[in-house]
Amino acid sequence: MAVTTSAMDTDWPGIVFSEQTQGRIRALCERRFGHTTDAEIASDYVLEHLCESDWKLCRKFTGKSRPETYLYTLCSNLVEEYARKRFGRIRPPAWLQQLGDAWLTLWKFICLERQPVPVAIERLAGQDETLRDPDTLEQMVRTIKGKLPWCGQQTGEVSLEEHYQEPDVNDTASADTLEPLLLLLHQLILDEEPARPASQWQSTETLHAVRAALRLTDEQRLILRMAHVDGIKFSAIARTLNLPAHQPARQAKRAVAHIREVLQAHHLLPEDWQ
Amino acid sequence: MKEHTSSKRQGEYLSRIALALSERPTLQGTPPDDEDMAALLDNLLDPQRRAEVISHLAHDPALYRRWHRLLNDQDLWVEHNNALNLSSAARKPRRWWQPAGGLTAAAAALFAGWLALKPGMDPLTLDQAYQQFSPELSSYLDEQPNMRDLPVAQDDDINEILAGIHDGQQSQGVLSSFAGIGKAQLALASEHYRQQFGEQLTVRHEWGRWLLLSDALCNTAPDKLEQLTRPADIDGFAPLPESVSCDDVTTQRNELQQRLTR
Repeated sequence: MAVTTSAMDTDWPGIVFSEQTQGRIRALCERRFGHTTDAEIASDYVLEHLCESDWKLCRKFTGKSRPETYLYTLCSNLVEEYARKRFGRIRPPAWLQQLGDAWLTLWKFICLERQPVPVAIERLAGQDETLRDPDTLEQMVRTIKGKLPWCGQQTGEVSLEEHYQEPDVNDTASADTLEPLLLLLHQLILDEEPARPASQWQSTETLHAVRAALRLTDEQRLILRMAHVDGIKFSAIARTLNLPAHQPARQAKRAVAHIREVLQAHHLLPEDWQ
Repeated sequence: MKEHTSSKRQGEYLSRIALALSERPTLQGTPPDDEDMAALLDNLLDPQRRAEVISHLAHDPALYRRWHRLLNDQDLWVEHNNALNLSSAARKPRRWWQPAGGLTAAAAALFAGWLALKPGMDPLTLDQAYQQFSPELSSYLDEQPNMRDLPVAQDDDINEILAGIHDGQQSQGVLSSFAGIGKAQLALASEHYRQQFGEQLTVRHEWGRWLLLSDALCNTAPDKLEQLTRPADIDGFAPLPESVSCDDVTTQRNELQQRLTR
């Protein structure tokens, strides 16, 4: 996309050093690190990198979005970059990686960064709890602390390369990789003792057939992930994806009904759901 | 297994399995950059690019992680969003899901006509107002009685309004009665509306959403009512003054009740 004249004319120093933006950056860092020295250092880190090399990052702006929203994405990235440099990225336990980003974020806040639990919950619940249900988050904290007794005792700078590898995005679940997930789901979601999943799940042919039968649109996948994996409220999903208020819940309902049908057809639903 | 696994847990179980099983397709378009993510939040992407960005978000865990982080803190940025007045801020296109032309475009044009902006104030579209005043609306809805009256047939024009009220309630995930109108009546109206108009938002539908939110504000934070945009007048209801007061809202609500009993 061509850079528009108004994008080129954007007065980045004026915007970044405005009282409002300074307040926003401070608020972002304080939410991330609490009212700590880290929050102050992170604010400086963000400002320093925004104006680095004659506002190089900001000047990539082409006018596709509003300047202040673009600035928000840059600040969010920089705060995360600072946190990574400060605390490192210790490889999370495999079961946490499987549970998704809300669990990982909560784990990071309370176990690595040792943020007080109420602060971590407040942050993930969003202002006025519009993003997530705090009771669900409390339950997640209890699970994390129950399974990881060392949580909150380990911190410090750890180099990224030493401990963490991004999961391969091209990985597709096989019978082997699916089994730990199924065990985890039965234990955490269905609240039953771990047991080996039904033998039907062990069949590669069945998995291929299920995979071929599942028809989810990209938007449905995204909504399912946001709502059912990361616990984001449907109203917040509608807001952030700019969908009519009722649509995310409706799309998710349809998708779940479809998944249920497919699994039922292959006798893969838990026994008392049949 | 517990005998009654809640539908929420069942939804989570089924979704997680389906997501784990899905194969990553060949994604269309270039991977989104920071500005694409910002434009998605701003609702400034054209439909094709939006679909591409959604597709990448749905299949790329690292990108989704960034998006997730942006969502977690977006309220902070919006909260401090009143002073900046940048030239591009006014350049908000129609919502991507509203096709140009036809009745929808006409409704959109009428809706645009509602925006009677007051000098010196940031305009709040109905969607923005629903977002901003979500706590007030939730608190109001929690206080509403759950009337169980059986629904009765209504004229289509009233159905449209009731459907708007129902959708307004649904945005908070709370369904209740409204001003003596039972929730079954509202649900029935919503069902009829979907059959008649699908996803289209008519002026009367949006008027219903406005009435619900206005009544909620009048009951919880009346001083915030002035931040709502004035809706277009509709047939059968008294024209609204330029500056709408809570008395005007009550008049409209009473008029709606009377129309239901006629």
